Amino acid sequence: MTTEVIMPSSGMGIEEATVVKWLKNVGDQVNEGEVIAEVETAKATVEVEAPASGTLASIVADEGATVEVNAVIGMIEE
Amino acid sequence: MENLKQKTEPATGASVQMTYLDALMQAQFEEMERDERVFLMGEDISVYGGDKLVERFGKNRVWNMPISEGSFTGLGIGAAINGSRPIVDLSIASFVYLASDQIINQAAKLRYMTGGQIDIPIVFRCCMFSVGSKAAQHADRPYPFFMNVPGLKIISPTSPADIKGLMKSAVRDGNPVLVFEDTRLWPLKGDVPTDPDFLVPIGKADIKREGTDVTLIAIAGAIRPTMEAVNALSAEGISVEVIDPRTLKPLDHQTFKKSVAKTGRLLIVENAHQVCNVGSEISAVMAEEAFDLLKKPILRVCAPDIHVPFSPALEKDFFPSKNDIIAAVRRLL
Repeated sequence: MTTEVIMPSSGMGIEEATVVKWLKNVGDQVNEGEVIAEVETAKATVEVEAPASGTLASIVADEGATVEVNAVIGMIEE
Repeated sequence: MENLKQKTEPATGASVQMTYLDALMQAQFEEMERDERVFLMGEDISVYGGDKLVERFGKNRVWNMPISEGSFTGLGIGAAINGSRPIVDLSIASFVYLASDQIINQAAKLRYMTGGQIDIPIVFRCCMFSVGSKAAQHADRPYPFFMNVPGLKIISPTSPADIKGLMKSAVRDGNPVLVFEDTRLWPLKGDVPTDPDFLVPIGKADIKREGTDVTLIAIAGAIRPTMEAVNALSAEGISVEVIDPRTLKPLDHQTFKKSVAKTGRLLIVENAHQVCNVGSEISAVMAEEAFDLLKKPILRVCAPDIHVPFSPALEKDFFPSKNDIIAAVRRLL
């Protein structure tokens, strides 16, 4: 099964965020709840946790990319 | 209370890169450092970015207010009459309606009603949360209402340096000033002068980009799709002059006219509803004073005369987009 990694919402008025760093590479094992990326909003730097355990199958939003909250930034294959 | 003299030249010294939101916080921080009469009051202000202010200045100068805009706005106006210089954060621009009697009937009129005996040095912060499914009751851009009121100044900066410089000018102005900040601009980064006396004068437009074919005046958050559209058009050899008024009242009609004299074509882009918005006012003044300079009718691209939808699918097409702006520029050529 594939699970989408979503750009988290971090408060009223924050409609977009920029991927600062992926802490995992495509193909790496990840555990549910593990921090896999750091993203920056106008207000703070926020950690993105893996929504499921499995393999990081793809990175949709590369480092430096700015995307809207709730957009898919990566995929985990269970 | 005296009107403090404003520096009109841009600062030449050092600058640092920061976001629009950080520049806004820095402006408030510096003004509170400079003048102990300045204090901050509003909803949630010790939560969203205000925690640094509480840490530095304590709760005597950073007041969390109950959800009662009319009463705390009146309190702020009373404090201003008595010698303080409050910054009243109304948190969401749609909430300003609740405080509008205090702002219009008291803050805007008391100097006039008392024959100049009362000064009201007060700043009202009104954040426009227009997208992200805030829905009709939280997504308004109500600056056109307040433009219709004599005695108020209104600013709508779009860059980090401008929000810092104009916010500081607003605090030092000595009159009621409304600050309409578009939350879509919060994450934008730019160079911001570090000089604590860096000010951007109220009432002066900024030419964001020089051009020769069309004059495009973009208001507040509309600057983002505007710059995307203008970059795309520039790749085709279409040269658009982009003007950011920065101040909505008073409007800098001189700068608009000078540009229209060069291009002969005028487009105004904004996120307010189309009836009686800033574009209406600019169009009227240009028709009165610069009609003979125009080669084509003036065009406006703005939100339709219906409420902001909750539905993401409908909201996506509600505000002027890059493609809407490109199409309007093409109609003028």
